[in-house]
Amino acid sequence: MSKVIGIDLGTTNCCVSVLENGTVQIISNKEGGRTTPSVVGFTDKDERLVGQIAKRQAVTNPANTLYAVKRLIGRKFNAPEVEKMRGVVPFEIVEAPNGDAHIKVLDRVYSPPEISAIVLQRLKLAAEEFLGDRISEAIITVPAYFDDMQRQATRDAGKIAGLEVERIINEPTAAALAYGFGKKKSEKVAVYDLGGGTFDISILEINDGVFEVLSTSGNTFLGGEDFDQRIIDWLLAGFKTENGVDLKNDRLALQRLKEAAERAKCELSSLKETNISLPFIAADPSGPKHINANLTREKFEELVKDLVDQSVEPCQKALWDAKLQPSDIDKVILVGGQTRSPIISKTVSEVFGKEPSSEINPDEVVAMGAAIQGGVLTGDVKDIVLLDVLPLSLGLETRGGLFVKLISRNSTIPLKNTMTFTTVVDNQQSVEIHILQGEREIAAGNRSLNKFELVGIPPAPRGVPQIDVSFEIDANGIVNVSAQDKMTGLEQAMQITPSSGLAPEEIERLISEAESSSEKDREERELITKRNRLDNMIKNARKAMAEFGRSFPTEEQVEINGILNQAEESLFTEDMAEIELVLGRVEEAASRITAAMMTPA
Amino acid sequence: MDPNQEIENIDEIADDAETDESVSVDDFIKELEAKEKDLHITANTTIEIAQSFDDANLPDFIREDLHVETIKQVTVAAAASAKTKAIEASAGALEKEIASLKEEIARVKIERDELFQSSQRRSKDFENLKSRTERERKETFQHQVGNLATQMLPAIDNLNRAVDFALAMPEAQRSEIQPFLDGVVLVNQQVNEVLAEMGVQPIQPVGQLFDPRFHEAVATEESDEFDANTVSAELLRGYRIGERVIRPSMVKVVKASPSDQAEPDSHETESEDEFAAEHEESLQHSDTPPPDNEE
Repeated sequence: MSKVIGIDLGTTNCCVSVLENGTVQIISNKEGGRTTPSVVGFTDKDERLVGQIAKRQAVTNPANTLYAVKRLIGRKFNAPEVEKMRGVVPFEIVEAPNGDAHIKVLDRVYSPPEISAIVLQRLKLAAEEFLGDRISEAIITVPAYFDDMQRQATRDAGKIAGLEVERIINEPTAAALAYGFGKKKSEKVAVYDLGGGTFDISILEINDGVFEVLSTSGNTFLGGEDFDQRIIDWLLAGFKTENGVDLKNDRLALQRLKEAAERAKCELSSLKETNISLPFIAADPSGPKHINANLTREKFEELVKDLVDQSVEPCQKALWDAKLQPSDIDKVILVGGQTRSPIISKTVSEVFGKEPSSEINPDEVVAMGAAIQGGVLTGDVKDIVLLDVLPLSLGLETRGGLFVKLISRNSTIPLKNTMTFTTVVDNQQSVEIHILQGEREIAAGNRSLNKFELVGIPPAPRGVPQIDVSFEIDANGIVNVSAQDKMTGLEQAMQITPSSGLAPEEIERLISEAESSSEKDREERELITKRNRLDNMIKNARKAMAEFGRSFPTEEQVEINGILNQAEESLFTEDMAEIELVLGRVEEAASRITAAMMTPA
Repeated sequence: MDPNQEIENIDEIADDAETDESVSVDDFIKELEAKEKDLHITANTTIEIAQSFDDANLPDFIREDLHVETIKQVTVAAAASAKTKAIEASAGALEKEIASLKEEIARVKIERDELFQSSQRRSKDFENLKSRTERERKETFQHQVGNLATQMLPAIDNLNRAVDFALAMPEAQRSEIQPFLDGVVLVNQQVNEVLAEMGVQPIQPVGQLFDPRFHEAVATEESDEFDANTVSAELLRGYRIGERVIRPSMVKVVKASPSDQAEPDSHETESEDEFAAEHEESLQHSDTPPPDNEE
């Protein structure tokens, strides 16, 4: 069985890892980064740029550079989160015919899974290069609060990228796995995840391989970037008072400030004080202006105090929802780069009354956990069994718009449950089965998954007919719902696949599209490799010619130099056949030179 | 039947034999045999023992005899049943052993398969690790140089900035520090030479088509001099080692003219243009000294 990679598909950054020789390896991308920005850029030349490179061209191409797509995945156009995002991003979010939030780029509409798939494909490629083997299976993590639609959409993204998503697991669960949980009996773990742009707190109860999410809370618009901004603002204000110059509109200065702020923040994780030195940040007639500021940890903590405090309330809420006291928590795990700041661990230990764990790189811990789960599936990891649980309760709408749960969340799947319902009015001949997912008691507060009608119920006084409704979830998390009138045996059933999301045939189409574009990537890479080889050969041949060329008759020298000149011209062709042809010629010329070098003149 | 009765009879016979001493042994035997017939005692005669007989009433000798007999019988029976039992038991044990061996084989098979698979995985992992390490080893030098350069670049940038600022100073001011400045310019040159020797080359973006693999766009602007989507200015020098970018150039990119572009992103650019007008000369690292921007 080939490897199963683990992918942390984040809002701002992604990370991919794999289990190798019993240890988890983080896979670097082509540019050498251990994490890849979740950014996709489309150029007018029909190129798709991913990660750092896409980020670099965002300024020139804002409408076609997509980021934070995770906030859209599996959501409706009119969802509050989507509405909030529409106000801040420079790209166009549109409503798909099924009501989903899609994105319009260069006159084409993309679903969020397609965009995520472009990133996933890149990660897959990096993993294949790293392992020297084709990869077709992956574990992808999602926030614990993701509902079925969002999970399904994430699964679809994997499929489009050519990855069979063996499991979708919760990010906090993955973090706990990386810390080795799931072996002992009954533990309660809090996972504090402060990422680039979102904050999540989750409380898990781990029992014999079942990772139950007891509660989640958070703030979807709080992250490490806000911390950097506080330092930038402080520097800007200081510079203005000192020099009377406002750098707010100076893009280059801001860029330098941003980098310096981030570096200072990182340094203050281990140092008490850091120096921010930005010489020649600006100039006016009086001469050059520099920033040379000392930032103490104390000052930094004062600057970000309110941000840190914003994370406290969600923690308390999560504890409350889980009906736990801080002392009930056995361990607190820190996830996300921002948690490296000592003020975070200090605050967390105040809230939970114990020192949090942060031994594992908080940027990578989730991907590592996913890779461990991959190892469980391939049999490389034996002492952990992670059972799938239903993330949110499933049920249906009953009289008065109330929500009745048939399967409550955290139930291990596969499973089946049946409940008997009846009619509300006399001679009611049909019932509507409206399937929802969520924890609210009012149906309208939950996510509607689908609905169907059971018709042909014989006329009877209300309350007399007996209708059995069964919910069945298979091992892949696919939900089947059936309703049966007990008296007539009349039955109606459906599988919960999209009233939103992507239809299977659509996914098939997208998979083949993505494959062809990855084929394109592969070809391009091959072209580059060949080109580099040709370049090297030409250079070596030239060097050799300079030294040993004299041993050839003049016409042969001219001929060889001609070949090399021609080859140099063809170096940047996009035509693979041409490169190969030229490569052959240069190889031949090179062997002639070598032969000449061997025979003494 | 009272066993004692019969035994008494036998005693009488014995007494008779003892009393008649004159008779030859042979006669005695014959006589005895005749008597036996009368008594219906033959070798075949068996002594029946009542179900209810009382062990305590048995004469000692017979008791001993009987005892021996019963023990014998019991032992024979026991032996027989023990034998079958033993056979049965051994058959059972064998069956059990077979079953357990079978189980063991199955277990070992599974174990072997697992080990085989895991060893295959391991060896594949190892092969991959080996080739990757080899690959990485080749790149290590480049990596180290790249890392070192990345760390050094901010300082080099600032040295460049210092030189550029000094060169841009008004003549009168500059002449005061000219010898010092010349020295610093030379140091700067030296640093750039060292970089070049390490294989670190500056990226030269101005006039090139914007390429995010080498350039990082910080701003866009309109330009008469350059075509759309080319780099109009370098704001911070970028460097590469071969094809590997260690830091992209920070650049300004010419945006498509408003007629080409339906939605110019005005908020992104206007302020930068102002900034550009103010600072461009001082931030460009041109080979010729930029003109004075004073007055």
